[in-house]
Amino acid sequence: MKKPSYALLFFITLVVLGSAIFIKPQKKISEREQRSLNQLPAVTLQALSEGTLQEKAEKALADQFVLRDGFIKLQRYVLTSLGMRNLNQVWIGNNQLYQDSASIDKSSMKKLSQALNAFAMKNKQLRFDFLLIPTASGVLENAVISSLYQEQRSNIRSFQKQLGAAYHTFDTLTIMDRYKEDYIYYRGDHHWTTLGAYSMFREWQKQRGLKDHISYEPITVNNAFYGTLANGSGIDISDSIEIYKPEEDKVKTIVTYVQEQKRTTSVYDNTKQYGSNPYEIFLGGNFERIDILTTAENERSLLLLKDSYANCFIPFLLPHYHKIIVIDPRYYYDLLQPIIQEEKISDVMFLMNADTMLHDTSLTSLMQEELQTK
Amino acid sequence: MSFTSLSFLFYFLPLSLLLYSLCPKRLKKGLLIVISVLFYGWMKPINMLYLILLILYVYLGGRVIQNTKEQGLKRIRMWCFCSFLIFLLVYFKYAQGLYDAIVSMLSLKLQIDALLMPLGSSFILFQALSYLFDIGYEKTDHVKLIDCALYISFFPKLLMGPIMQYHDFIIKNEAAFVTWDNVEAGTRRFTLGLAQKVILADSMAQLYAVLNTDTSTLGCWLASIAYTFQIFFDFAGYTSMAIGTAMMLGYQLNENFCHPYHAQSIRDFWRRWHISLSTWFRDYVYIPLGGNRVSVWKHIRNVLIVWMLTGMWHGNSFNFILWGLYYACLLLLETYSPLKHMAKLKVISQLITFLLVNFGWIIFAESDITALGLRLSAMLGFGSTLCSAQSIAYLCSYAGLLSIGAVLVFLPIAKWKQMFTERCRSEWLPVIAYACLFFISIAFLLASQYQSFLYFRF
Repeated sequence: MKKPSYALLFFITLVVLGSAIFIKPQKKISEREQRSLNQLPAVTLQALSEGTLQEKAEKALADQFVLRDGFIKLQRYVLTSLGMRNLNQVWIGNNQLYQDSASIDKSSMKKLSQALNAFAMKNKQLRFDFLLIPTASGVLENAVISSLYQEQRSNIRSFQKQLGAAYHTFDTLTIMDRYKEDYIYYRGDHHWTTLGAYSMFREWQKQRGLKDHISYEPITVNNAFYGTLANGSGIDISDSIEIYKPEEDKVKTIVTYVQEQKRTTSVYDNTKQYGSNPYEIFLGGNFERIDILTTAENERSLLLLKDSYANCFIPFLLPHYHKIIVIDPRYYYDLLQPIIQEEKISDVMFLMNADTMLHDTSLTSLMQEELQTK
Repeated sequence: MSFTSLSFLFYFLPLSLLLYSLCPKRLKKGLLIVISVLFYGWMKPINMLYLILLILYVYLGGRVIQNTKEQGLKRIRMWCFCSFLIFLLVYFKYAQGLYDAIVSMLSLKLQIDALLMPLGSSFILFQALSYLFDIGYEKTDHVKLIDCALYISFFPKLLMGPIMQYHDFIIKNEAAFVTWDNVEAGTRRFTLGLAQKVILADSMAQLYAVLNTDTSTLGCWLASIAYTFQIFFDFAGYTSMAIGTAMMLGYQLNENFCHPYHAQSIRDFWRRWHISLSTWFRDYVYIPLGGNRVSVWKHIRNVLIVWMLTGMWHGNSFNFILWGLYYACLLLLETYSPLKHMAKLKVISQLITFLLVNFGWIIFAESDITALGLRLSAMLGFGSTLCSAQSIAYLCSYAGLLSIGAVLVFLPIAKWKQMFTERCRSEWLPVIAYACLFFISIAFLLASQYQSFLYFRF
């Protein structure tokens, strides 16, 4: 038998794979990466002499490579077989992905708590609810993220202790721990599920002494949801998104997107249901300021300072407030005091996940800005 | 064009090899020069002009030097031609920094842009210098335009070496000829290099990037080891691809690495790491200065000069000079202190050498002197926590890859590979192993382009 040749195999592979790119139809979009794929460029002398043709061609070759998804899966398989549990800053647990987070700077944590305490002192007439929500890394314990688990829990507890008596601080860790066997976090996305939000809402409602007799019916709106973590890591874990529909829809709403000057009658945006990020079905995504007017029979007005975790929580708040002003500090560059006065705010709620609140400095900046004004 | 670009791998390489093997023998060198110039100017065609002009300048310089019979004048002419190349190298590396410093010192509100250094200039200009030195010092009298052009532009070694010396390149490749055995060996060597680069070096680069901001002792150690592995697998991988490509064309390039982290002393390390650069500095700077056959003070001066230049060659920020001087000090300590007996304790001396080299890479990687101080003190356990959650998590996650890296770096893999080849009866097994490695490398190459836009913050 003739001696086997690796060189022959090597060159056959190069030629076959190299020419297959030009034979197979070009793909326009990568759903997992949520981006348009680069197309093979048209050859022009100018582009060639400027080098732009070569640059575009290189990107297109990578995007249009035959069996690209299969090769990427092979790479993921090799890495995970070698014990790699972090792909593109996503930690891989047992059928659960976790968002990575860098260590938190204790001094910036202290700055935030000081600013929050001073803000509460300045607005003594208001009630302050503080819900610092752990992410999956702080609740769903796993050997892969055991150190992140400990760190997040200790940061949450330490931060909650730093808040003054003006804040009604909810023991979010204990609450989420109670439901950790349930589907309270998406497996492939960094958000909590609607069930997670609902579980927290029930506890909040109980502790606030508020009563409603509304029962909700979960409706699945998307059962092939590849979230940020699944897409970021390229790991095939999909989720389903549910919305909780009140059995009796007593409360009507008017939702105003202030900056966008857009008004709707629902806190759900059905156009996002099968879009690139189906989680945006809740409030259509994140916006600087959203004003929600409801037909709830009370005079309470809520100022909600939040991140995207609050988006699936807000529907549960509707029966309890006549007015909800939703502010996302990451996009909001104005003052809060005029809102508190003009909108006759009675309650303030902070609802963010631990990662956003303790890493992002926008809330600290907003609070500090607020304190500098008379 | 890079060896790890898809356009090189899937089109340029097979097409070049096909054309080269079909080409009549008398035209082969010419074709190889054309291919090399295209390779160089692929991403930026203007670079082709730079390369062609450089070749012509070096060739004419060589001619003038060779035609000068009087020795003193010959040296003067050699230095005249070399000084322009040295000026180019200094200009490319330092002009922008100098302009910025002047603008800032005079508080001027303008931006002066120096010419950008064309790719691989540090390597190309050193080889051009070697050409002129070899003719000036009469190491060779072989002055032909086609050989000069091929020596300077030969694409496998063009961008990252190995830095061949002209006389050596000419002798080794006088009868370059493509044989199937060469192609077979070349593809195998290329695959090993590709795997080192895209599987190991790039993964280590990711680990280093994540832990670069970690200030815990464990995080800093892990980051430094990741960088130490990354720089080796990256450079050694690229060199293997260069040697492999040259082999496919029937050419021979010198080895550039010989298990550097097996070294038992710093001197030993530099005999194993970037061998072609060390040899260049030895032959063209250190020995002409008198080497070690001079008084102690002159020897110290020579070592300091060589290592400062070595540092400057690597980059234009202060840390590179510091890195060069760090090695100068270590080498002098080894020569003039009882440390020279260190090599007798094999395992300990290997460990100490590795740690010293590891510290050296921290200096090499960190251009901010304050950050460098903080990092080194964190590694020694001062001013930082022992370990952060992030560093523990990444240590566990990368344990497999780090172990593979450690095995390849510290254990006698080459010897084992040799033994396996001799004892393995199946001829298919190595072919399958190389094929798997190649497909996995392609997978890593493509996965590195996977870009999902995470919207955690939005």
